[in-house]
Amino acid sequence: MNAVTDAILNPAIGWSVLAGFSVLWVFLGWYWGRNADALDDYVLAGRRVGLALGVATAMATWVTSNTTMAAPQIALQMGVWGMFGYSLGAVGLMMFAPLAGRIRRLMPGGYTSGDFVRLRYGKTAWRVFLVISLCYSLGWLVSMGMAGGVLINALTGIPYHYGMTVILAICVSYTLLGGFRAVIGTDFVQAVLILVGVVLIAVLAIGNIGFEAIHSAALERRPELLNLLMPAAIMFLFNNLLFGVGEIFHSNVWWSRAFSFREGVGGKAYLLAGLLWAPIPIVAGFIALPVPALGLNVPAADMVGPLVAANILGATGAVLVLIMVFSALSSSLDSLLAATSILVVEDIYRRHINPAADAPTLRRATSRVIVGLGLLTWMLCAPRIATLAELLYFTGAFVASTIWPIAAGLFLRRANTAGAITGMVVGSAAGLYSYFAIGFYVAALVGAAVSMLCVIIGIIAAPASFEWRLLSEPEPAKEHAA
Amino acid sequence: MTISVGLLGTLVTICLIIVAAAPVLLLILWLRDWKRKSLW
Amino acid sequence: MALPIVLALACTHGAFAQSGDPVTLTSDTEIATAGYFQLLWEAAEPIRLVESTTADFDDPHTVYEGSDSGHTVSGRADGTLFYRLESAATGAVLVEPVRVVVAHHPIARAFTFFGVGALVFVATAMLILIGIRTADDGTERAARSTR
Repeated sequence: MNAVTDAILNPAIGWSVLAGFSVLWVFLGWYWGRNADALDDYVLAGRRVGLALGVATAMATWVTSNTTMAAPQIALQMGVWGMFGYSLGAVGLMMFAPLAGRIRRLMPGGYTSGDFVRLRYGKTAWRVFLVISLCYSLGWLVSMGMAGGVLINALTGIPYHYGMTVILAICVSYTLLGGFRAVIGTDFVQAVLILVGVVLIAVLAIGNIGFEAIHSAALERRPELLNLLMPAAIMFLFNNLLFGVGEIFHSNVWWSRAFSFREGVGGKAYLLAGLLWAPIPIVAGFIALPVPALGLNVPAADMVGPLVAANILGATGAVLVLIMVFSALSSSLDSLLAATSILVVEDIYRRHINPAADAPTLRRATSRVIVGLGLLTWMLCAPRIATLAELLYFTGAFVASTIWPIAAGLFLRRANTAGAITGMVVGSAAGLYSYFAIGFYVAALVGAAVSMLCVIIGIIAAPASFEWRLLSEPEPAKEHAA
Repeated sequence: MTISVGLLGTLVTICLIIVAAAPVLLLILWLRDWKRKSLW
Repeated sequence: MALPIVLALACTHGAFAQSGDPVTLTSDTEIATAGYFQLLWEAAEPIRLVESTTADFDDPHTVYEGSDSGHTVSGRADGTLFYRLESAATGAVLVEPVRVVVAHHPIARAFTFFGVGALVFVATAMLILIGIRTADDGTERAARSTR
C-alpha cells in the first residue's frame, strides 16, 4: 500500500514542463493577437472562425480539469453509471448546436448572453441572470485556479501558491496579449494534447492490468461500482445531463463562441465537439476502476486520477498527467477569462456605467477587466477555502434554472418575462433545497424541472408576442477610418 | 445487476478508439480550412 | 462540477500529529446513501485501518496499513460497517471505533428522479426541434411591413 505524502515527480521536471508550455502559450498568444486591435477582433476573433478551430475550441474548453480529475472521482464514488453519466455532459454541447446558429442569425451584432436576456426579457430578468452568470463564472474560475495549484503540488511537491499563481499568470498573459484569437488558437493545440494524453494513460493502464483483473477486483471489494442499478448513480444521470445543458445554455463562454464563428459553422462545430468530447470522461473515469486491483489507497476521492496514473506509469505517467491537465486547465481558464471579461465590459461597464463608450474604449476596458479578473481569482484561490470549490456544486441549481428561460426565449415568441424571472428564482431555490435535502446529484435536475414549469405556466397564463427584430442592436461606434 | 467484463471492456475500447481518432480528425479539418483560407 | 480540493490537500500533505496529541478517526458521514464515504484520521505513527461488520470486530479485515491520513470507501452494498485504528507496529487499538451505515436510496426514488429528468430533457429537446422548424427570425415580418 502506498504512501501519498511523497511527490511523484521531481520539482525540476515539473517546473520545466510548466515553463516550456507557458512560453509556448504566451508566444502563440502574442503571434495570433498581433493584429487584434479592433474590438471585434479582440473579443470575438473577427466573427469568422472556421470549423476546425471551432470544433477544437468548443471541445477543449469543455474539457476542464474537472473532466480529467472529477470523472475518475465520480467513477470511484458512483461506478459505471457515474462515468457514463459524466459523458452525458456532451449533450449540452450538442443541444447548443441549433441555438448557436439561431443566436448568430437573430443577433448579428451581439456580444453576450446578457445582451440577449436584456433585449428579450427586460432589465429585471437581465440583472437576475447576471448574478447567476457571474457567480457561476467566478466559481468556475476559482475551481480551475485551485485545481491547478493542488494538482501541481500533488504531482511535484511545488507549493500550492506557486503552481496556482503560475497557471493564472500565464493564462492571463496570453489572453491579454492575443484576445479571443489567442484563446481559440491555443485551444486547438491544447485539444490535441488532452486527447493524446488521455489515450496514452488509458492504454498503458489497461495494458498493465487488463480488464479481467480490474473487473474482478472491483467486484470483490467495491461491488456497487459495477452495479447498473446503483440508485444514487441513476439519479446522477439526468442531473449531470441537465447541469451541463444549464452551464452551456446560459454561459457567455459558449455564446461568445457562437458570435465568433463564421456563418454556418456554429451548428456543426458544437455537434462535432459534443461527439468528440463524450468518450473522454468514460476513458478518464475508467482510470479509477483499477484502484481495488492495485490495492491503492485513495485518501480523498478527487485525487484518484493522478494517483492511479502515477502508480501505474511512474514518472512518465505523472508528466503525461501534468501536461494533459495543464492543457485542460489553460484551455478553460483562457475561455473563461475572455468570456467573463466581455460580459463584465458589455453588461456592467457599457450598459450600467458608460453607455456612450465607443469600440476603442471598450477594447481597453476589456484588457483591464481581464487583469482584474485574474487578480480577483488569485485572491479567492489564495486562502484555499473549500466552500468556494463547493460553490460550483451549488451552481447546478442556479444554472439549470436558466435552461428554459433561454431556450424558450430563443424559439417561442410567447415566452414571457414573468415566467423567465420566476423560473430562475424559484428554480434555483428548489434546486438548492434538494441539494441539502437529498444530495448534490439532484440539484440541477430539480432546478431545471421547476424552472420549466414556471416558464410553461407563464406561456399558458399570459403569453407574450415578442418581435425577434428587437434583438438586433447597433454595434458601438467603430473607430474612424484613418 | 452487474455489468459484465465483456460489456465494460467493449464500451471502454470503443471510446478509446474515438478519442484516439479525434486528434487525427481535428488535424484533417485544420488542413481543409487552411487550404480554403477559412481558418479564421 | 468541482472538487473538495482542500480536503485532498489536507490529507495528502498533512504533517504527522505530534505524539501526545489524541488520535482521532472520523467519517464524513454516518449514513452513506450512495455507498461511499471518507475516513480521516490523525495519528503520530503508521496505522492499520481495520473494518468489521460487528461492533466487537469479530471479522476484522485490514483495509489499509501505512502513513496516509485518509481513505475513501466506495461501492459498498447496504449494511453497517465499523472501523478502528490500530498501531501498525504494536497492534494496539488507538481509538474508539467509528460506525457508518450504508443505506442506498430506495430504487423507486432513484427511478422517479430519473423519470423527471428524462421528462425535462425530452421536453427541452422537443422545444428546440419544434423551434428550429417553425420559428422565424423576424425578417419576414419586417419585409412584409415595408411592402
